[in-house]
Amino acid sequence: MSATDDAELARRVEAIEQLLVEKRWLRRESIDAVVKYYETSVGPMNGARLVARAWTDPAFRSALLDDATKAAAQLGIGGPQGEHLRAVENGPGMHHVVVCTLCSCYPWPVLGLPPSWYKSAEYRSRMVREPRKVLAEMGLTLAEDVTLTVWDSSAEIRYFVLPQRPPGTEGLPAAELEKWVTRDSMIGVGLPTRPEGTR
Amino acid sequence: VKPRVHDLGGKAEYFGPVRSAISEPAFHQRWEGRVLGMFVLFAGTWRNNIDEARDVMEQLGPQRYFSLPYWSRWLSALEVALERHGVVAPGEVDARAAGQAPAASGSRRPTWVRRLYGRVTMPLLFREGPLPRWVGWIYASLYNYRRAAAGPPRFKPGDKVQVRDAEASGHTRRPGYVRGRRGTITRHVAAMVLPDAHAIGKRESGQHLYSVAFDGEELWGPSAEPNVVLQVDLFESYLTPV
Repeated sequence: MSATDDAELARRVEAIEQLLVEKRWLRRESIDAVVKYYETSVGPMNGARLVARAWTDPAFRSALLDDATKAAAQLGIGGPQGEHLRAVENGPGMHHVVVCTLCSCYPWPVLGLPPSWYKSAEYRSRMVREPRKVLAEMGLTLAEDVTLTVWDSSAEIRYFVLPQRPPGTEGLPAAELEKWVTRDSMIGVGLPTRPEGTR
Repeated sequence: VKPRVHDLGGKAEYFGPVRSAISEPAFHQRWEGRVLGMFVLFAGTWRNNIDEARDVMEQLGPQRYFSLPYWSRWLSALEVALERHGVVAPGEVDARAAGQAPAASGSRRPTWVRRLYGRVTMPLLFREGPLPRWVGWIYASLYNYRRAAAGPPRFKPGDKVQVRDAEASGHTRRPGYVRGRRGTITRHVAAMVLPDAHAIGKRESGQHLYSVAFDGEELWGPSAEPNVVLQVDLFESYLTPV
């Protein structure tokens, strides 16, 4: 195939869609449903529910660390690229970060579709070679005595980070804590942050 | 064998600033979502052909791999799969995209099960809001990569291993930067589909998969950053005992 720009790519995709509809493999509405699903129903808010629940419910935390696929399914979170989920937990002196050097593996049901930078050649090449430098550039400077574990998603296990609960959030209910949990904190390139407009 | 450009770990020629953004839309162009929709459909009816897709994407030329939008790689994989499985005839997409619009030719028509999936089941699965629990359960139990292995695991946590260095002949999930390096098994994950075989449609029993830890220094020498551990998931056939 020879498509080289968006207009051409769009034409080509439309051609395939027409053919599949004519051959009765699918309806356009089926594709609409998938598109809408990825636009509205998966995203970091799903992961935030898992994390906030783990912070407030020790039994759920254990279940999540033991079998994240099963624990996520309990909250209605699952689907393509979530067949084998695994949560890795940050702790004192221990930080985790996730990358896929071979393609762009990412836990879709938990975090949504991966952002462009996660799929970029720069992130994929550097995160295994100079992860502290990349993290510092992204605003997360780790002390040297913190062990940094980089998870390269080279098989079908989809990793995400269970960040540490931030100090000062004691007593907050899970619904409030969810707002602290960012996409970046679950990839491991950031930490949970105070939601805007709160103190 | 076409060159594979996808294996980027540690390759300095790709280093540069990571342009991170707080959030971005799921799709930047309408066609991107359509590609994913069609891909999901066919992954559902043909069960887990992700390695076949990766195999195609890996063999794209560097220009196409790096310069075109990410989802155009998936489009390439989709087109190859559709032809390979006889869903579209060779040249059929070209003709339609060029504005010639012959009636869809007599290539393979869906069985009723597949037609039901693409036309009825799929929109039910991908509906708004959290999935019903049973959907998550179905995914976890039917659509997974676990397969019974031919024998017991050869390694256990704590074992020292070395990653085989021999060139792979096709698709593999053994990153170049661990080839020939020594690490320690930290976990026996499960017996799973071997991507190397799966990509070329070979049906084999499962193979044991391990999480293997590598010290930064073992991989990069003295210029490695301090106190860094790399965890890589590797299949048994990629490993030898030390």
